[in-house]
Amino acid sequence: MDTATTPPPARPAPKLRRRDFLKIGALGLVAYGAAKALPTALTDEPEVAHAPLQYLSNRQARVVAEAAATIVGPGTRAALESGEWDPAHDVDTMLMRMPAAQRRLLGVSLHLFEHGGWGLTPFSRLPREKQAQYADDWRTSRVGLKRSVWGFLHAAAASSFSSTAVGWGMMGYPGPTVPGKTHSGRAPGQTAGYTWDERVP
Amino acid sequence: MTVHRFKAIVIGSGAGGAPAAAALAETWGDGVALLEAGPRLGAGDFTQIERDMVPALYAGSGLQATADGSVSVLQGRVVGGSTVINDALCFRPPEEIVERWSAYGVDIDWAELNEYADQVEKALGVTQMTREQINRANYLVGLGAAKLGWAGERLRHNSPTCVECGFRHFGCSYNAKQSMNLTYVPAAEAAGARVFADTEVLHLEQAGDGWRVVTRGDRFEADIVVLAAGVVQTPAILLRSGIPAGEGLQFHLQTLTWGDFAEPVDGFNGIPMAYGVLEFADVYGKRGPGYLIEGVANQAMSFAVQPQVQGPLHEEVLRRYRHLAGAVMLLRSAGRGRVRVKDGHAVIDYPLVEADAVRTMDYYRRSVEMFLAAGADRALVSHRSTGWLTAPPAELRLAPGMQYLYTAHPFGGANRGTVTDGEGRVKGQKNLWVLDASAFPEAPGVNPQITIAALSLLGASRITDSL
Repeated sequence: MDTATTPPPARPAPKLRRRDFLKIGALGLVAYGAAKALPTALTDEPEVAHAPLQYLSNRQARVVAEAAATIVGPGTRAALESGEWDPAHDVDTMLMRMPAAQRRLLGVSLHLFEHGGWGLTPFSRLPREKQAQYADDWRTSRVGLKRSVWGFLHAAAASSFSSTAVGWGMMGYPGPTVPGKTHSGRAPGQTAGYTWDERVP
Repeated sequence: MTVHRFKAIVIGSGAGGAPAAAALAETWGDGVALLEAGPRLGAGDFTQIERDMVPALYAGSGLQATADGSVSVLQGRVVGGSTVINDALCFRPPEEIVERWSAYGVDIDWAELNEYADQVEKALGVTQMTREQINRANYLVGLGAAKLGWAGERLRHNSPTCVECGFRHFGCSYNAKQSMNLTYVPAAEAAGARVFADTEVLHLEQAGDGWRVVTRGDRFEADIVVLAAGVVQTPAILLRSGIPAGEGLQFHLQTLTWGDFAEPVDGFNGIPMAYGVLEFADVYGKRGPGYLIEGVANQAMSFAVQPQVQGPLHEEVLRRYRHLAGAVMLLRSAGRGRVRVKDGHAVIDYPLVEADAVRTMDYYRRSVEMFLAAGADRALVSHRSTGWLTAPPAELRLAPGMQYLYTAHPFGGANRGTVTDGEGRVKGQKNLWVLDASAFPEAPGVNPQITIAALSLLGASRITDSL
């Protein structure tokens, strides 16, 4: 009888099941996000005083403000800095009207926008020309999620700016015809004259 | 908890619900109730401040969109429904819908529908806009179309005493626009009906041959229920009630183009939408690709969100605001989506299909050509791939989010021929009807308020005839 021990059959390598793969991937993403957020968390500057916000953190407010000025245009910076335009406050008000699930989604979107680049510097701390390039990459990205996030930021920023006195001034918009607290109301009716071309039915 | 008992309850007070309530109240008087999820507001509440009015008047505070965010879905949520925030445009029901709907087993008596359309137009004071009522922004659309030999016309509207303030999208501050809150809702009340505003319906429960209507507050019971809560909420209420619905959603897809003119256009003054180009329609005997081009001029905030540019170009576009004339596509979509319910809330799914992309691209080219023919120095389309254009654009990549798409005209979800029979009765249910645009098996291809209201009156006559 051959008593020599034979090695046990080789055990198959453990399979990485789909669920485990997703868990590892998610952990990796969390770790990556944390690593990227850490340097800025440690070196955070004192926060600028804002009107009290219900939903946005001060950091999220800064992301919104930087994104808004980048998207609407460089001529809006002065209004942002003087406080005549406060897009973060307007987004906060918008969030108040949303269902909780939608609010959470937008919180995640802001985080992705802030930390979604390849470098370690978050969006809100990039030099302005790089912020512009970064936002433009999201605007026309092949990734639908990025385009959606830009779309939200654009809608929020543009609607907020165009609701301010500074925005109305830039656009040459005379405001409502009905008097209000901040405007006297203009006369309704057309102001741009023209002569009807008889070819037009 | 208070329980209100009625002969008939109509859910929704827009172009579908209000005429039905008025017609039923002619028969049953105070046995009729009209329930509306939104508030009851009047001219004094319409401040024309866009940032206040959008959340006050629009469904989802103006943020309602498809699940992927690629199409904004604009609907009114106020007594009067979307007629409070619409452009007051009035088109006769196109005869083509009779033929198209027959493919779904829906037979409409064309002559009868037209009689009801006549009644609606009389009640709403519909007139064709005069030349003097066409502002420069809309005139430039007509001029470009005329120079290219395209068919166009001054549109008809239900605002016979319009003061031309330009704020139709935010409720009429002058009580000039004859929306449902000023016409059929008061008519229903005059006939005895009761209106319950701020009354959101959650679901329906069968109670014998009638229905229990469960809301967030009081409870309602009725022998007959008419659903007219709009294209998103009507199917959602059915689904929450355990009744299959939601499929067959269709849009009039809308996107924008602007011509930049040397002289100020000042489109914010005057009637926002007043001139229509019918050349590319597939209704009224036209055999085009299936879209209208309508002149459109928006107030500051509504305009600012539409151009899909950023940075210095965005700022330049804002600075050119006074010089821009706008046009909007109204495309009878080829795609079909659905309304579903998740955690009790309505979710809208809509896929952008190739046929829609091709025709949207066709619209972008034609509309740029139109503005250049009208004398614009350059044009801009609501797409992320281009800036100012001095010639019609080459191929643009059309994908969700690449172009600004919205719809103020959703249809389907409780389609006639599928969810309901040809007249609006929900199949397999007693005394439950759908009389709004969610019952349309196909989009009409034109601004729909007259068609919706005429079909509502037709349906109401079937209800009273059947009992």
